[in-house]
Amino acid sequence: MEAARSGDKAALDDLLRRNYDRLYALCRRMTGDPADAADACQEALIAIVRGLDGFDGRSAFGTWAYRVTANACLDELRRRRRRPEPGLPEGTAEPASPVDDFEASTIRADLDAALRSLPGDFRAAVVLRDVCGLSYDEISETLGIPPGTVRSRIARGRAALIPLLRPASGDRPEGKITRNPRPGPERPTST
Amino acid sequence: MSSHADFEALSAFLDGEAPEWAPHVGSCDACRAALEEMRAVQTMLAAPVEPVDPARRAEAIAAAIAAASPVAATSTPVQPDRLPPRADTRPAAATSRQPFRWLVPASVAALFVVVVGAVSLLSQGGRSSDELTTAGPALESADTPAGQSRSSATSAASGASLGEVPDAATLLARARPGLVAKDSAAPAAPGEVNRSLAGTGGAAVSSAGASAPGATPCEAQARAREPSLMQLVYFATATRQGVPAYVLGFSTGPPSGPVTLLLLAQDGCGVLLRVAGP
Repeated sequence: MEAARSGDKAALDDLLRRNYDRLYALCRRMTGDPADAADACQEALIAIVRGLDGFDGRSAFGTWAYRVTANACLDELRRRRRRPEPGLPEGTAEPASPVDDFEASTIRADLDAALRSLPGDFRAAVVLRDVCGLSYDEISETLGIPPGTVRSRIARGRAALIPLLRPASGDRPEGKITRNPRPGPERPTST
Repeated sequence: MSSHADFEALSAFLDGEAPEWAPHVGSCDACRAALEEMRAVQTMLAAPVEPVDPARRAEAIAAAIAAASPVAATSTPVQPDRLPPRADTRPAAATSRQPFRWLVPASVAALFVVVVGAVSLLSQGGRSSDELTTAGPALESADTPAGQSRSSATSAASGASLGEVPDAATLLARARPGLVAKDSAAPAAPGEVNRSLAGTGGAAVSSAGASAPGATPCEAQARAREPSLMQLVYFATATRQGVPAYVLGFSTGPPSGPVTLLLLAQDGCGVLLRVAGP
């Protein structure tokens, strides 16, 4: 790590090589597209290399690298927002016709499409938790939001994903658990 | 806790962040069913992504290392953890981006193109427009007829720019006029630049052969990396996150067919962007 910071290209190459796959996995789930993920990951690597001088080691390198990469992904998503993107129709929870049912089944099977339906900030929280395995505190640090907001975003992100990813023929449990089906404006959190 | 946990509490429980709900979940079928749904989604998300193309990974790492060199001399180290979250926590590369920063060099380049173009027009008198060498950058060719005035690849690199290129879509959009000109231009002699591209900062190179292989900066490295690249048909300069770069366009089939654009770091020729053009 110190060698990489001091400009040793071999050490830098080794550091990036060891971390590339997990950073790419974050980008892949965040962007939902291999090409966009590769672009975002490349942006992230450049930002990491340039930011190494400023990395003071108070957080783990992995957490810091995730933070830089998540920001690169959010930048990529903002850029992509200017381009046409297939979106999910509103109210996809209950298909209304056989055609809608077929389309909804296709959507359920498409993890990328389901993730793309989430606003970027919600997607980042869910992906950092379920793909990267970060704790709420680490996600809080990574995204620069309070832990209570992390908890809320993860829950609401999952609540939105479940109906999209549930097997079409699967039984729907008859629970009494209330959930907000689509992420909307956030409530203020006390933490 | 006899009442059901709400969804947020269950989600936190799944992540080990709300252990106080363990007694209730242990005795509640509805809550366990909801947890199972969440676990199923978690499993799907955690599934491995498709394997990364080793060549693309190597390129990305090489480009990042190449990008480090020019910044080391000019950037001021930042302390991400001491700054407010989000935008300010990013390292220097991300925070130093300024919208329209590319306009300054682009404006200079555009002015250069206009002035050189005017001089070129005056000096060449009766030549037809298709014979007219570019008002912007041109490529030096090994088989350029003696006596013809043509800029070298080096002067082309320093004289025109597509400006700051943040992503593949922008690269394609800015290079497109030059690529279209390439398609529509009449055949030119080997090494001739087909058409003036004032305003685009790029030069379409004759499909008849353009420069000798390796005559253009980073061309040899690009060809070594991708043997499938054919004719060099486009050349310009640009920057990405402030990193000076060359833009090389290669046909990958017939001369009028698709073009692959490569944005290559001037220092080391690492691939900063790759995009399939029209």
